[in-house]
Amino acid sequence: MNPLLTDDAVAELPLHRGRAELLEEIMSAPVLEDRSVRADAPRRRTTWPVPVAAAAAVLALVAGSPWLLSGLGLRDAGVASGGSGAYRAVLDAPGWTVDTVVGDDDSGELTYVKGDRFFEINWYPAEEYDGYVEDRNHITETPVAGEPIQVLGRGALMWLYDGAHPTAIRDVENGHFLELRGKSMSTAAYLALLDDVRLVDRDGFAAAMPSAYVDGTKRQRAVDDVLDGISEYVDPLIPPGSTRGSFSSAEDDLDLLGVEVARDVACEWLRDWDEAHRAGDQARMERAVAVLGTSRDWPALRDATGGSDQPELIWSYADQVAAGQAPKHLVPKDLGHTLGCSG
Amino acid sequence: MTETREETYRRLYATHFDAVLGYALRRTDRPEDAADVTAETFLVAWRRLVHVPTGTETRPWLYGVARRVLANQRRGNHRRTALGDRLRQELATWVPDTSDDVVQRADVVTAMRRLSARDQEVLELHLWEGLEPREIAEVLGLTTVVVRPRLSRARARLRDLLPQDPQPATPQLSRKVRP
Repeated sequence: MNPLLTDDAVAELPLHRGRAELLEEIMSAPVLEDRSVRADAPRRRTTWPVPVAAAAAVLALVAGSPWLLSGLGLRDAGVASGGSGAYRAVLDAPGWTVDTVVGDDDSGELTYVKGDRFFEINWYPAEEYDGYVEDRNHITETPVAGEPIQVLGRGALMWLYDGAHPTAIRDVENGHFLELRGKSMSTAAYLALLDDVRLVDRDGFAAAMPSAYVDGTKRQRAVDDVLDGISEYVDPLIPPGSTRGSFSSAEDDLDLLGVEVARDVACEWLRDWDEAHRAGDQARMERAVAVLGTSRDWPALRDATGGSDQPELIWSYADQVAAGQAPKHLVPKDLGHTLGCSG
Repeated sequence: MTETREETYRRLYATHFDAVLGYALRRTDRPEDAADVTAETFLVAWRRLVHVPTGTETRPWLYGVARRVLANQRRGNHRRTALGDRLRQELATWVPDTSDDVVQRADVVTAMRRLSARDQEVLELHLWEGLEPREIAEVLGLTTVVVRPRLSRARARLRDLLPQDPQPATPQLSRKVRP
């Protein structure tokens, strides 16, 4: 465990270079948040403005769909997407666009924006209903019971945060309940907006997301596509001695998913080069160098639109091994630190 | 003259870097993990700068982001970036194994570990970060009316677990207060 240093003690640590360097690294990262979301956005453009770090924190709607490797070929794992009752909701209103989505089958949050107005749809499991209602009864200094309204043909209770921002909790349906919150809008505008909300099941939810969004129903196909693209340049896809059994990703941004899967393929070959380098196996090193040398052509890396810095990092490693240099961090532990290679 | 996005961010970073890194260090086992949490948190702040609240609300917002990044790291879903490599190296070199300049007495830390995770978290935010219930509510995404009694109960439970000794038993008194 790290020592429980005070902030003052932290300020005394000689971290000036690391601190300054991190600042410059971050400020050179692309900013995605101000872009609008268009439902008809081109497939490979990351117009869905969930920031990279936030996207890393986004939970998959269902578990990632793994590829199973059979010998040197690939076999589809055949994970069924499954269905679910309609307890999520989406907003179909002109000018409102998806800002963020975070969640899983159990609970989640979907936020829309329009100018300076926000509309947030949350879904929670039924067992949390009483706790949430009790909490909302106390959002004012003097506890106030929610005002009964109708949302999507079912009873709901409405409160005002700070006397101005409406929120409503809808009765339980299909084992879950919805909370719908408005910010920077009048109660009348909020109630009118509720008419544009519709209940959806998991597939309907996925269909209502921007095109760069990949949920469990699309994820397996997306992983397949990424591996197919790499296979055009790499055969076999992984080194013969690799023990890797599957590829998967929990990313729900198409670009980030592609980069992650391609990164995992690259990790296999970087490890192979490292082992060969340690063993002095020149032929094996050359094979890994040849594979990594094609990484600039791997579609998932080549076409990535700037949501990740990993393509550049992979290519720099490829260049280093091609030059016969052991990259500074090319040991398994540090590959984990820098590239995120597992194991 | 209006401040540019870059100027705003540099000011935010300079003002809150130590606090965010301290938050991360106090909740991770390894310095490099704290560096990762810090880098991810400030990357989120950079990308979502227009959503970062101003004034006294900024720090709880950053803690809230760091909390989610940390939770993700603990779940093993964390995807490391290349950001902050030098910070990782420097932290690994310079964070001391032990230090007198800590937020809490060892016996209080030990007692806190016997509390539920929920009680621990609310107490840590209060005692380690010095947050008031309103700010804790911001970090946890709860309302103040929920946090206030929760904090009160957690403090009472902690007091019950502490040995009765001549030193002040109230954890807050043993805290080195930061400005």
